[in-house]
Amino acid sequence: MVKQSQFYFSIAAMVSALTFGSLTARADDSSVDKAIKAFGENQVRGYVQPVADIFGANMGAGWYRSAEIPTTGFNFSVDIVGMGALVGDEQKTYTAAAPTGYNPSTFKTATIFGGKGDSVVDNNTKLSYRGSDGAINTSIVPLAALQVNIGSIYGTQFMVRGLPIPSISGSPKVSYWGAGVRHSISQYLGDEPAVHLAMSLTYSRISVGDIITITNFGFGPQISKKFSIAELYGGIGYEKSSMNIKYTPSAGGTPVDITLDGVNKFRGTLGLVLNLAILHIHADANFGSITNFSAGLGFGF
Amino acid sequence: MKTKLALAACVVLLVTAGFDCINSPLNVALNLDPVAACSTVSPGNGSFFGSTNVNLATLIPSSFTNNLRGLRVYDIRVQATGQYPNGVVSGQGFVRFGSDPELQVLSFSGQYSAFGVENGVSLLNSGGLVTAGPGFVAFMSRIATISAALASNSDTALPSVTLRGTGSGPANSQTFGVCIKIYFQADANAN
Repeated sequence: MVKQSQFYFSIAAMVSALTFGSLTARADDSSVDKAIKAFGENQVRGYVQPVADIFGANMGAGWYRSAEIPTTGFNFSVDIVGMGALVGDEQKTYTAAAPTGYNPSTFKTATIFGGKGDSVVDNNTKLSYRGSDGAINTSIVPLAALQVNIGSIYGTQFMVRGLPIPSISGSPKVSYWGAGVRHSISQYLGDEPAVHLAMSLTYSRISVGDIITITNFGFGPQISKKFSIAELYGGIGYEKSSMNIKYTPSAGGTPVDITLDGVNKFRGTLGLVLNLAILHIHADANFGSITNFSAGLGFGF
Repeated sequence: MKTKLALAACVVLLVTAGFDCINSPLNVALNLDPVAACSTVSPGNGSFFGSTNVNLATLIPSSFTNNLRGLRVYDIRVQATGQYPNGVVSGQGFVRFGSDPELQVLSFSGQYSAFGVENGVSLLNSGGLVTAGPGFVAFMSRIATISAALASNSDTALPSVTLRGTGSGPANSQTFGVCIKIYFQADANAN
């Protein structure tokens, strides 16, 4: 039954739903949930920081595939967008603080995306302290969204994205949505500008019950130029993402309620779209502290 | 190219077998509540004696019961509680696992107020206030033996720990005391 239901979902939807399934949605019983809840507030930050970094970067990707926005008239498209962020070596380990008094005072150990946890041994007493193993073994973290683009009012287009993530019995409800607005700059540059320019403002949010909330805010200019059916596009952007995580540690103690900022602050995007009548096939790369990619299919005009 | 292959592999996995990239084994480190022996210093002669017996298994969160893979001690602390009179406090800490012989794992001596800091004084950086006792090496060896047994068989029963503190402090009419705390960390399989 599981395979059958997966088949009927789009690949994009499955990527997201199952990624969240692995990360959080099976939270009540999952290995990942147990791994996270083993930490107290002071230790968990470094372990889960890459989740904020990677999901934040993914959520800011794939919002546009052209800077051309009609000035007026009805235009509408639906895009299926898949995003994938690379999990680099820097996301697999972090420098953890050893308990007070240890010599050395820090040690490198696995993040949630790492391998085996490492230990630190105090040089004087030979007491030792260990970090947990990484929970998720992957080189890329995918995310997907269905996006609706609608316009135009004075060269302004509105975007809404999200993903219907099915409820899993006994697991927290997972939701993913986003909204944005883009405005044509090239409309002010004459009737036939050499390139198209636009500015965008986007916001998206993922929540997993009341355990995890990740938000991403993005702002920046885009540029594109058509060459027959092909269109090169790119852009730069400022972004801010954050992840709030709440839980009660499995060993008891003070409930954890922390917010972590994603590492990506700026991104550069370079991509190509093929415009085949109402079908638009696009792919782009996003460069910043986290490298990620997006690709998708758009239907519309 | 590697990225494309990874992405393609993930998609294939999703369509055919589902996405399951959870590490196995996944051993998490659990910082357990400390085993603490606390006692009140007798106002009359300034002596104190405190003892506690804890089955380590009771410190393990229920979701990890019978899934342990290792055990270690990551800190030992001595703390003065209550009002801190002038004068020296000194004593020893003893540990017994199950019915094993008792081991003196530490000694401590210093101004009472020096032990009155938040979280107490650690063996790790005591500045000479807390020192390893003659049984410390045997204590660590015993922990290593328990840990090795857990690594080979997660059903290994954890022993009870008896922690005893004894010593003397300044005779004083105020209420104050001494706590010895041992901090254990367990490795547990989260799969």
